[in-house]
Amino acid sequence: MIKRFIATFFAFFLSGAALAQENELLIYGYAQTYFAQRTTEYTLYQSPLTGIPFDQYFNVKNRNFTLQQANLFFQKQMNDKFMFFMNLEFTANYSSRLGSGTFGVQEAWISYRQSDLLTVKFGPMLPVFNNLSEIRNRNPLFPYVFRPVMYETMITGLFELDDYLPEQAFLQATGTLQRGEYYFDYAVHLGNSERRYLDRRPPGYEGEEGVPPQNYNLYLGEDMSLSKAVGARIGLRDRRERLKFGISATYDTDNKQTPTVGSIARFETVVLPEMGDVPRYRIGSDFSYKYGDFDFEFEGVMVRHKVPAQFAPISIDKNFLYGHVTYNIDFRTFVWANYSWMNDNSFELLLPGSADKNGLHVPSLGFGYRLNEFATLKFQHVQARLRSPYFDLDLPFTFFGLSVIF
Amino acid sequence: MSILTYISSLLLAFWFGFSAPVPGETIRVIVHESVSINEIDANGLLDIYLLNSQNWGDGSKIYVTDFKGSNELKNRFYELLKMKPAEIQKIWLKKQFSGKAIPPTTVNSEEELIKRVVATKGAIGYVTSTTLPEGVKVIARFN
Repeated sequence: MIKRFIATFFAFFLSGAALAQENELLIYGYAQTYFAQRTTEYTLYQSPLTGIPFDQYFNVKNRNFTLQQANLFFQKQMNDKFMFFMNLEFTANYSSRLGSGTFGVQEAWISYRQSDLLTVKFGPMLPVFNNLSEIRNRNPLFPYVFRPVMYETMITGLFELDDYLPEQAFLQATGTLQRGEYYFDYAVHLGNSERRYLDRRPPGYEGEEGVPPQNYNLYLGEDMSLSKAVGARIGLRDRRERLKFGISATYDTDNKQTPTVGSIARFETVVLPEMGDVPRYRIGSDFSYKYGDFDFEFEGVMVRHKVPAQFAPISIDKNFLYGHVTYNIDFRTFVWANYSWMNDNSFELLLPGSADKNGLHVPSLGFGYRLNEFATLKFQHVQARLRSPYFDLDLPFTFFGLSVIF
Repeated sequence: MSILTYISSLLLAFWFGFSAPVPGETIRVIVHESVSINEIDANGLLDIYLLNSQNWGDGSKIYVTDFKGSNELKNRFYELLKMKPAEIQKIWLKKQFSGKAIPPTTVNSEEELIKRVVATKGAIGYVTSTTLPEGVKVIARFN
């Protein structure tokens, strides 16, 4: 009797839960933790700043366990047309007590789906750009631990992601048109220009730079500029999503009014010209193809600036390239290799022929094993390197990671 | 074919994971009675199960149901769509994590699936059961 009561109770409870799902708040997420051994090998031949010859070499190793990233999603289908989506992200052993890592509301938008042809989203979101950009922080979707260099949030201080990719949009329209075996996708988005504008002095303020007036506190965290970002993507994919191709573009301005953060400005000695608001175009392209047990991915981003005439021929243009192949040995096991490269011409401002202009080369390979549909073990070796007439920098990293979906 | 050849073929097939299609019961695709369409082909199902089509013809939301884990019916259904389970799961995750779609609701049994389709306006699922309650209609059959 008791058994029957318990069975009936659970049957009722479970069926109730299932039936309520179409309008209930879904909470899910993922976390990726790794053990890494990282080595920094640095050989200095000549001082980049003074030209004095050197013969220095150092080799620093560290081993650590790190919660690379954890994301928590809230999603609710409000009715047939409206859906709400929120994405909270924690990175790099986030701790407010220790001041480590980051926490942020990555996305919080509501969408209205008129039909397959038109969906409108409003609220902070990752804008549709290249294939990887759209899922840049969805670790379980990747076979690797350490992402292609531009997308890896564990790298800080070397470059600003804003300089390469649109980081956030607030309004976006997307849609899909089906023709036979193919889908044609489009997306158009609008948002603030890069996030460096968020800390910008209000227009007309002539006080000490970096020290806002009292009333400026009212606007902290808001974009005080008139500059806005627009972007678009058109894409093609086949019905089974084994072939995907797209071209993306954005237009905004690069905040070179106070070039005091990130990127090249990590070198204290460098003096960057204040170029003002520099018009910037990003053009991206991506191609993905699944052939048998092989998955291929390619992606490129070109960032071009319209530098004011008085600063010509200075170039602050940037580039990114990425190629990847995975071989799925069986349902559970896969091996892969990839190569990514990024460069920033603005490092020419630091020294002619600088290593950073030549770019950061990051070949990598690894394998993985899906323990079940929720957990995947990952192994990866990365061999990042910079080469220049002045120094060589080698960064061999080895990762053992576990990605879990909940 | 000698017995040895037959056994070695079987062992090879087992070793490499090949399996001959086993004829099973008819797969019936069922929807809530309010759904405006009365028939659908494999391509239409593919569009729905890859979450590319999210609305019925009258604009109402499609709620996809599927089975948890792996079972013979699910494997046969995916073969019909010419997709591998891992492929479909990856596409679902990608769309779920980017907020493009609500992932399918998964259930443990045909009985549970039928109950869900009966109770959910716009729901779709697949079963082999021949006895179906009021409140659902069959829009496709596959052998």
